[in-house]
Amino acid sequence: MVMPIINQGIRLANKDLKLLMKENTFIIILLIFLLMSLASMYISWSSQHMVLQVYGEASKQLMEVGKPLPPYPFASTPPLSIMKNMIIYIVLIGALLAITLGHFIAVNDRRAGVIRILFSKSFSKEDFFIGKILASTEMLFAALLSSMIIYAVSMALISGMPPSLFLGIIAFYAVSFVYLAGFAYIGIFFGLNADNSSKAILLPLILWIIITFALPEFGSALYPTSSLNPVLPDTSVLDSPILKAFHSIAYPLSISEQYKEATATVLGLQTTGTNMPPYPQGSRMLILFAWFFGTLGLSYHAVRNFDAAQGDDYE
Amino acid sequence: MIEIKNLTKKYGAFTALDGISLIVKKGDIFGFLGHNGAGKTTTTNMLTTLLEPTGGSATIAGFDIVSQSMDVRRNIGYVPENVQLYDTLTAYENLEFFAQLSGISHPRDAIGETLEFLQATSFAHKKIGELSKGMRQRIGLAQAIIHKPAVLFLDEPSAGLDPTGIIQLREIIIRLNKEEGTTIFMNSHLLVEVAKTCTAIGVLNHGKLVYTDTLANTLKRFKNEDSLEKIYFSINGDADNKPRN
Repeated sequence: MVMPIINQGIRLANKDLKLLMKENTFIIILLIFLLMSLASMYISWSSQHMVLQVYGEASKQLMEVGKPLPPYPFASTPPLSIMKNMIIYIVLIGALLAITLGHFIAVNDRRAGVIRILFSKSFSKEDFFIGKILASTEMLFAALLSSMIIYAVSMALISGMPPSLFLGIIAFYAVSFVYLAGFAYIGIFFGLNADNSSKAILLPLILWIIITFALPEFGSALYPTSSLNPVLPDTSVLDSPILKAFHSIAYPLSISEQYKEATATVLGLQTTGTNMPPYPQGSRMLILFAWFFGTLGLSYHAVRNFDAAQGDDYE
Repeated sequence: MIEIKNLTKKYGAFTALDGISLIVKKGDIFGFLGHNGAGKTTTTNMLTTLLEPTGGSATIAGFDIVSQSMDVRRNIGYVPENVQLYDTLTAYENLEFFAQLSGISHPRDAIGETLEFLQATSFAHKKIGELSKGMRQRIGLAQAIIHKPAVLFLDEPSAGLDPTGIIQLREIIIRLNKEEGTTIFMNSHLLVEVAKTCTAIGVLNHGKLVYTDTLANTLKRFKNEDSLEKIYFSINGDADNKPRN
């Protein structure tokens, strides 16, 4: 009896989800995503609330002495600016969680020592690839959906939530998914390629550091601490021809900067970026899609070259 | 049932398996003997389609191990050395997963039947991590036979088992062969077990097949030796000679 290829992949993905649930890995990742969303929401709300309180007090005093009122402090602030901290949480914490997720999904069969059994069944490498990608996609989707629901409900409570805002939130999470999926696939790639758990987890972390801190520094002359800002400050890379050359190579590769710029635009925040000619929004998304498909291709390559006979040799 | 012709595996300049040819008949329990590093596991890995040969060919149940690997996989079961399963899942959950991968869409009945055959029903709902080595071995065997394969590959099945576990495993292998007609290909170091279980043997030395025959013929041929152990050392001392059969 020939079974459709997708069924075997789905079976593997279902088993991966069951394992992650039983080992509480998914619950921990989900909780961190939820806490991250609540913290981001609370920090943004409380800072706005504090400014409004001060504004209210000041307005009252100015009215009493008959002076004109200053403009409303958030008059030009987009309503979704309340989500801006989430951008940096995704870059810093979300990407690490995605790597962890991809890693666990890739190595659970190796740690269990069942690779030889799996591949002695009517189960191909394509089934294996589909299963791993499905499992990581489902988990990531569930975590981001939970976070999105928190934001949507909170925004509805705070500002009544017109449909246009909801579309903005959906777009933000869609771009975040593309960004984070790349890190999950990187976790899968190293999980299948490395012969021990230290390498399998350390190598993607080094790559994350390069993407998040090193490339923005070379690409836009940003100090590492500047990378912690959700919206990039102005920099002056054009002043130096060497930095300008670095910029033209490193900036497109700086996936975290592309993500920050793309999501800042989606949320309606001002994106200052570098003082190089601005990249059109479309090209940012193209770079993010290239990241998504590039890492997907890498994980497929890892599966194709995976040695099933030696796959259980993992410490 | 298993036909091997000039099967070779090379890793660069190193020849792990040097053109072995062998026939295992339907219904045989074949004991594959050899020192560590002789090439037994390499042979099993190739026959179970985990590893591609460098040269030669082999068929299992009439299917080529390279060009018809998925058909081969549907006809075999495999228990690797020191079998491990998903520790956090129960025995039942492990078997359900592997049964589905083996093409059994509704595996409940097959799991029940297999566990009963292996007398392992009592620990079906225990987590694998909580089972003893012997119990784990039985669940490992269950995943390999749940789809009633024509050929079962066992790599050092007795490794790490206590004497009771070894006896129980031997009885299961013999029952499986007699009641289900399963052909069994078994790598082993334990010559006593091979003598008590197998109907035919092959001896591998440094990647070369130096001997193969039925156990009955072997015992007749080496009638002056009083144990399979002595026969084995008598054959294996002659490593680089051509196969005697």
